[in-house]
Amino acid sequence: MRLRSVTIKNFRAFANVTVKLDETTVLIGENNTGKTSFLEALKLCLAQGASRRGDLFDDYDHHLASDQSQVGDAGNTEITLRFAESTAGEWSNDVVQAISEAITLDGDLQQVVLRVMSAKDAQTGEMTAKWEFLDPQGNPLKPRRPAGVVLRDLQLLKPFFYLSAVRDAAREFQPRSTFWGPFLRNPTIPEDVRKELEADLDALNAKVIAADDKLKDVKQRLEKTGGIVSIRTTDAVAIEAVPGRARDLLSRAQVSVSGRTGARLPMTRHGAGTQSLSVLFLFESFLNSMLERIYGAGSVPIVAVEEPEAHLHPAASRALWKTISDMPGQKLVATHSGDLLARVPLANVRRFCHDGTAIAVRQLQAGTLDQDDARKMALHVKATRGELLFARSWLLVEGATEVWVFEGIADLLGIDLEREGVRIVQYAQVMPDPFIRLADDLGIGWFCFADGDQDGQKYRKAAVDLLNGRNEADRVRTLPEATIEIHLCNAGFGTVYEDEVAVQKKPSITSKPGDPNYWTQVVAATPKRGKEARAIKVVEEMTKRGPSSAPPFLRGVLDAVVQIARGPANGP
Amino acid sequence: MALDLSLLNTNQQTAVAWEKGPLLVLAGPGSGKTKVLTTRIVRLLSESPDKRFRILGLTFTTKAADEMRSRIDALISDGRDRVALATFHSFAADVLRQHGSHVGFRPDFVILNQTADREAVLLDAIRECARVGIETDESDVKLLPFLDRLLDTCTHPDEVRNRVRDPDLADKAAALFAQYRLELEKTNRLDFPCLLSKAIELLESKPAVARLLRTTYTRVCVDEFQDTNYSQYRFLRAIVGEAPPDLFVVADDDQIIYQWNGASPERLLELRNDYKMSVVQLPANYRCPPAVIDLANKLIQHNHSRSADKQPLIAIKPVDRADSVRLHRFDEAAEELAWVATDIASRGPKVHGKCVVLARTKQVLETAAEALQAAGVTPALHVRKDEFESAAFRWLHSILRLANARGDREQVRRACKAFYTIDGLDLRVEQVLASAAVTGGDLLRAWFEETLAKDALSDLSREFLTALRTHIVSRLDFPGFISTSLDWFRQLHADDGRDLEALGDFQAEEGMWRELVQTIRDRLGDGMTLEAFLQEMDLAPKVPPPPPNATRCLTIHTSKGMEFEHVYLVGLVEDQLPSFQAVKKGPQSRELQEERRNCFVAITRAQLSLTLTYARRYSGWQKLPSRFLSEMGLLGDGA
Repeated sequence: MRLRSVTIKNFRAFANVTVKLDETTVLIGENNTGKTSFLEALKLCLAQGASRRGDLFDDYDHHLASDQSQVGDAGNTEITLRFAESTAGEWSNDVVQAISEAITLDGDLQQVVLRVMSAKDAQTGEMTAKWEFLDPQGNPLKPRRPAGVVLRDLQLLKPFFYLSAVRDAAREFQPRSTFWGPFLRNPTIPEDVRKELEADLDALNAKVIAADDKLKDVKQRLEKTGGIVSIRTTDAVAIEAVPGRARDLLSRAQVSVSGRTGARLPMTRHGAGTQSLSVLFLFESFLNSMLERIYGAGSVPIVAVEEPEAHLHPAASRALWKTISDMPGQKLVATHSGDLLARVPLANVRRFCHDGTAIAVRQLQAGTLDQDDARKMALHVKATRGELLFARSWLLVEGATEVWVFEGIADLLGIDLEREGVRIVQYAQVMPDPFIRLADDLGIGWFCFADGDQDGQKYRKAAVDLLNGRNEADRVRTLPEATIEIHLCNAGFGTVYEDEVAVQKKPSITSKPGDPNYWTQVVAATPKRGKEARAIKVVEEMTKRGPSSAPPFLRGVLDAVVQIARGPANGP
Repeated sequence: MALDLSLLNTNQQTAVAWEKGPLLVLAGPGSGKTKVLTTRIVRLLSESPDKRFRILGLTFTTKAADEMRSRIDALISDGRDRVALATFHSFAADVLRQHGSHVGFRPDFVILNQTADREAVLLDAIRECARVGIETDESDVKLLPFLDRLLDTCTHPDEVRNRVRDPDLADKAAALFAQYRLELEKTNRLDFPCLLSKAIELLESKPAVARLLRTTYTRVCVDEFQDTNYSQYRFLRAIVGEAPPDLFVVADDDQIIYQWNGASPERLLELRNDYKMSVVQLPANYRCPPAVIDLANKLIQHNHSRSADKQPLIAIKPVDRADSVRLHRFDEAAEELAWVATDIASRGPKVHGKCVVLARTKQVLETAAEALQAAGVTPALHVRKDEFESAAFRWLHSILRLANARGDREQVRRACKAFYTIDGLDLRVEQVLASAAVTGGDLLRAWFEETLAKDALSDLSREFLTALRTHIVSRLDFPGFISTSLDWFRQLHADDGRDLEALGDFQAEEGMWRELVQTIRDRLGDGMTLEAFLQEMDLAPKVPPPPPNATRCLTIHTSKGMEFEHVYLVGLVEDQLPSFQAVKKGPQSRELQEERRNCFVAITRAQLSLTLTYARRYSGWQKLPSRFLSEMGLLGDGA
């Protein structure tokens, strides 16, 4: 029973967003773009009971559109969850029977739509929440069992577990903790083994007491109590060095992990990374062996993990994806780790970003990329360790020369591309359009830069076709010259190229300096290898000459892409 | 929990333990069929504590559903949520509330249970049809019963023409039928016949909904199946499908007395054929004296259209008194009823409430009630109402409906009118509407504001209305609202003699109200919503409970499913039992057989004694003794 989509209205920074969810969904986005709020919205709906009175949300949960806004001004705060089948008959009988009165039909597919809505009570002026299941047209159902009772059964079928970024092994491995406690409380030790064990424990205790005369003395004196108050006359007093019953023994269990040296260290004495990881694995074990025992048949959890990569080495982060996607249930992972993201299929990524004052959640739509492009984009994401998707805006360039040159100019001019969220992406192997489609779906800004030659015009056309009403001048620029090298020569860095022309190649330069074809011939006469090295030399030369030497055309491109990165969520 | 089945007889145990597919339990009167049904449900629940499948129990009356529920509650506490006991109509309403969007209804549809309301819808349909040029006028409102028959037989709108012989009428009927249904849909309202026909349409056109029901309710039980009419059977078929793993049907073809409503002996045959039902019979009778059983067996064997293999009843009660069957003849009907009244009176007041006077028709019962009164016995005639009659409960009901639909002008009108009777305050409907218009259209709030703004309002009412406003307008705490309203009514009642009169038959209705609220709460649980409460209220027949120690005067139809220590069956003459119409149809007719079943039902109500009476003259007409008396062997042929 999968949660297919969540619609959030007027909750914290969300004005109105709908997020579709997959079997595993990965949430990315800069700080303060609502990833945690999103997970908390789900927690409010799925991990809390319906109350008769009052509000589910606190004052700061209600969306405030501006600093003048009062609670409730924005309208009702609503969270709507839609669970649905993907094929008819997917839900097991256990599931259907448990929440039958909340199920409606969307075509032949069964669905459950739960809406938690908090509205201002006309009389008291207080925000008051109500829980309702909706019919396919959005009208509240009137089930015989009250919605709150059905909600309880739904929550047993879809228990929601939230692992926040802070995973403290000391807390999670306590006997009463949510995930560890059930193992200790419900031991499944066969009866004969238990009896044998407890007999051994008794013997052990007797041996300890017998070995110490002082303890024996205490025991004898205590037994005199029997003469004064009524207790058993024989064996009334026991001094238990170790607990006599298996259950009690287990409740004191401590988990130790051996380090490289073989020394056993309690969990809490290990580093933060090991602790964090061990909590994750404990949780996995809980889901595998305890869930159905506690929540009943058909129960499939929704697991939200915030920053699973916390404290982990990049290599460990990369391995996490498999661990998490193999966990039972539906997973929601919020991450800042490019290493983790590098392993995630693009379709599973949800990008949270600012859109004006509100928050937008974007994803790659089905059909945006064909299979081939999708594979290429996935490779690019992987090759950049996922960093690509964290950018606010992409500067799409043909090749490595441009990367060196633009990064150099940015340094020279004091433009911090990292801080601005600009990432320079080479598209020559692919064509720019798959990048643009992907960027538009994900709300990432883009600027396409191309040579003035024939290929460049082809790239330009591909980008222009995807403008969708946006201004070409703001988004696409081609060089006045055929290549960036010629542009750099024209901009005063020709000596770098002249110096590289081998003696044998000199005769091929037939034009004189100052002729329109001169720099073209010079660049053509430079060796095929070493293009990037020459670009680096140009940047060094530029740095020597100072900021004013940066070619204005290229400066203009950088300015444009920075403007895009600073703008609202991007997209057609 | 282990269920103790030792108190059941062998056949009852077989039925309770049945796990081999569809089963028909042919159960005679007093054979413990409700016990078998409820015990089986409890068995299923207690054997499956970890399972979630649900059990659907369909009954014909809310009373039967309530009785089953209280029996189940007495035996088991875990899992009662897994049993849905409902009438065909209220289950249809449930299905439509959840899935009505596929046939044009929103979950908050209103159920029309009053003929006047339905006629108003038909009038709208007539006007609309007239507007588009169909020849019809308001007098055609008389066609409503005809439309009901079309609905009860699940007639498709396109087929209406074929069902009417007169071609002029055919066009009109088809148009009105279609428009009537459209008017209901447009205004999100449903009447009883449409509840079933829309639910059937939904399940037949949307197999996924039927599948959801079948997945949920893997066990389906039907009580009193013999009363099923065409549309109810079709609804049942749509619920369980072609090959249900389990279908548990209890019926007695000797107790079919609703032929006029579409029940028929053939339906039981149809059921047995459709589902290849296995059969368990429960002939043992625990209710009646052996002498009565003897009469019942002799009588019913004269019916030829019974289940061929039906076993005769077997008396279980020991013979304990010589006078368990008495037959008395009188010259005049008045003498007959006077004697019955004196005989009941002579049993002493403690026994009056355990006696019943049964007759085929209502008219005789009214005379019987007078005779009882004259003999010093309190009579209780069975009066069924669709609506409350006292001003107090009309007010309460209309305010609750208004709270549920805050723009409903009709409820404002009713509330104003009822309140005038209660408090003497003349509040104009227009005033409330005008006040609501400036405050956002909340008529409920406006009603309270306008009423409380009147100086003429009595102090007592002002005090209560102020509290009541908080309950209902802002908090929607309707249980609190109801209990405070009852306090208010009682104080009005106690403080002021004038109000006592103004409140009409307040006391009787208060008892009825309390009983209704209690059963609805049992059914829906404490967390019920106002909407569900009101819908249940609409579906429930409103019958005031009889006063204690009163002797009830019932038609045979009403007495079905009941039992009494002493039964007096009066008017056993030709043209009464059997009825004039049945006699006219001839001795082999379906009608006459139904009359025989009426007699069978009547005599098998008796726990201790049965008294049969007849007179030679009724309203001056000479009448022959009922043929059933001879068939029972009480009179020689032609005596």
